[in-house]
Amino acid sequence: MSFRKRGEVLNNGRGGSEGIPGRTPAGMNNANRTLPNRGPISSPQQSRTLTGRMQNMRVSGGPTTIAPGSTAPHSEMGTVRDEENSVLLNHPGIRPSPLSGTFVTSTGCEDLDKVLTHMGLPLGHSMLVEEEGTTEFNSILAKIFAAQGIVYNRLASGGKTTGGSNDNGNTHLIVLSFYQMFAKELPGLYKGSKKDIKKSKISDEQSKLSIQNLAENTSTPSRYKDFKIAWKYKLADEEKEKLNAKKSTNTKEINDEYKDYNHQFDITSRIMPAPSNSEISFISPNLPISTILTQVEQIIKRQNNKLVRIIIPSFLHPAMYQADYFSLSKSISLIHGLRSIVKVHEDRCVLFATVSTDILNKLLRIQLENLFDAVVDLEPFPQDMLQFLERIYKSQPNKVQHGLLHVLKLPVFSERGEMQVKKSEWAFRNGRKRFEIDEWSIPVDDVESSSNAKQPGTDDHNHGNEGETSHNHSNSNATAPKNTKISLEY
Amino acid sequence: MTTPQRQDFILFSDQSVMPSELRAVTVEPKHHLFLITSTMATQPLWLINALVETCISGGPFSLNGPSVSLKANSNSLTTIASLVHEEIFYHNALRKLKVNANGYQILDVLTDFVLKNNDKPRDKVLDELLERFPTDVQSTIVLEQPELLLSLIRGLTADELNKKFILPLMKKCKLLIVASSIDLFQDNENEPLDSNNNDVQEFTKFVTSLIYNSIVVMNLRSLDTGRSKDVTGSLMISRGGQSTNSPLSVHVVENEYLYLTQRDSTRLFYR
Repeated sequence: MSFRKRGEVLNNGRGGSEGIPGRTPAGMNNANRTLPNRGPISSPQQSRTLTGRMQNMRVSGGPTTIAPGSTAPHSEMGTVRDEENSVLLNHPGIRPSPLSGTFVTSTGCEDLDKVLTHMGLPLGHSMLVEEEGTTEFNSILAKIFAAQGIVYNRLASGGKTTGGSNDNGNTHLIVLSFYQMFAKELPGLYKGSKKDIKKSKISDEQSKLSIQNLAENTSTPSRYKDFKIAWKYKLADEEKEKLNAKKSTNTKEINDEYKDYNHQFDITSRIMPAPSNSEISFISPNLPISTILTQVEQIIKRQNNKLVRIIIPSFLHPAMYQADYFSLSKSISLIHGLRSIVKVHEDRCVLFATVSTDILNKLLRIQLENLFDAVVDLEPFPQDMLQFLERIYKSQPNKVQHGLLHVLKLPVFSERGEMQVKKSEWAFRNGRKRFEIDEWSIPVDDVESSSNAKQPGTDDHNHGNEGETSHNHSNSNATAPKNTKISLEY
Repeated sequence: MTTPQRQDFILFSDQSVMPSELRAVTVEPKHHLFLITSTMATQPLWLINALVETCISGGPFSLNGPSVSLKANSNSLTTIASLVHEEIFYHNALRKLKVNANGYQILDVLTDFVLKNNDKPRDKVLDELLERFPTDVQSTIVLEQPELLLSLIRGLTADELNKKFILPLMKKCKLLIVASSIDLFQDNENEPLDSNNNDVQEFTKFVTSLIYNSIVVMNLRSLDTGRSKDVTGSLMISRGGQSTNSPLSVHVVENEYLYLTQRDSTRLFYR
């Protein structure tokens, strides 16, 4: 008979699912997983009952559920359309906006979704992320946006990446770039810290049905027996459990409904396996514009029941775009054409582009911004500001922000005529596991203020001005002892 | 805090948005141009809707509230064409205002404009575009962001756009309402406008010519002080270049309103 320690992982960590509670790991093992009220798209046999919210948000006529083998009195076209709608309604990456009721999809960055106020980018809308300076924060957002699309697709196909064009996925990416390594550079899902991973492995193993686990669960914990005051621990444990249960039920209800809506990505890792041709299509921007637009249109039509996420990473980057793109007629025509395509397929298409504004003139920038429904501008902090923040947050390096995020346009609201320009209200920070956006407030420099207060005292010492010394003495308590000392010395 | 008193939207000295002369059927109608200038932060959807509503229903009920005295104009047709918004966008917006759908039609200029016209000569593109608008000298045409054509049609100049599209379009209707974006001309110390740039010159020339051809200019802009919760921006009404030559018996009342747009409603008030 062999013994194992309580914390030891069974099966050497292999074979078990590696999920972290509350998080969806990469390469989801969806075959065994049942999403609450969201039937996995790959298995139409499973029930496709819609939640109340989805039934309320029904777009057009026709039944909201498709029972396999049902003989509903529909035309063939109608059935195809309903099937398409059903797939999109069950899509884990589509939810209604809490503000406008339009369907939205996540940008992959939870904080950016919040900044957009809809909890995502509304379908049929486009977004432009501008960046000033030579930094590349915008490319992180583009990669996260793309990676989120791949994760949606793998949720539906159970983590498989099939080579065929008609696979079981629910999302397709179109990337306007000839740099095909973009697909291999997409970040993987954040699986938690090492401690979290180990904890989750243990809890997974413990949750499995085995004689030992059952025996451990039914028996009282050893510490209850070991100590004389075990009843105290027991009571404390019970109270804790009750409190936790209360807290978690409320948040769980909300999170469970959209638990696969957005994910956390680790930018130091890579999505595994790398996206295949069935998940991502690349179109070179150096083709004639009509060819690009035709290809985009064809891909969207081919992926007829999928959410299509069009991405233009580093638009007008001189290494990728020919010089004639800097003429209005070419770049604006391309974006205008893409906008029209997104609007035609507004029920399942979004456009996300990033651009560095340093290479644009004012006219081109304004014309570009004009054609997008949402525009945000990243303004990284200059070096001295970063140093200042690092000094202030010396003990909390996680608080050091990397720049300001200005909102220039918000989808739906701006086109209605609402003034949604928010400059210097948000600040962003790019971390390994998250692109954070918080409200910006100028931090207080305690060191500087105290040193400023000390400064006059030193002058007094140099010049020996009695009048000034007495004035400072009354103003600052911090400098009082020093001043007294100086006057005594004097 | 008290809410400021709601003000009626008035453009002309007879306390109207569109004088009866403009709405009445005449034998030899004159052609007029209204210009709306706006920025990215203060988009003009609500103002366009109010003007369309006036053309069709007789008054801007969405802004001023219902009025019994105003009568619907059933004779004229209003055509809306936009280079940035799709057909359904205006349908939805006007449906919310309960504007009679028989009173307007929407031309979808956005969809496939580039695909259809990419390799065509400039004149042909403008001719084909012009042909899509109905010829009805009693009607109203609303055109959103025609200046985009300067970017979309290679080599097109402001003069060509004016002579071959805007002026012929004016002659096709009684009232042409043009909504144009003027973000380019907003002052920005960090990013001054390069006036030597040919494209900038063409854009400037085009907008200037629109101002000269119009009888009224409605300028929407955000507050100089930035964003505010209770004010979206200001609507400044000023006379256009043709206001003095206008055969209308009424004149434009120059005015400045503040306005607040929230969800689907807009309210005008004074400072």
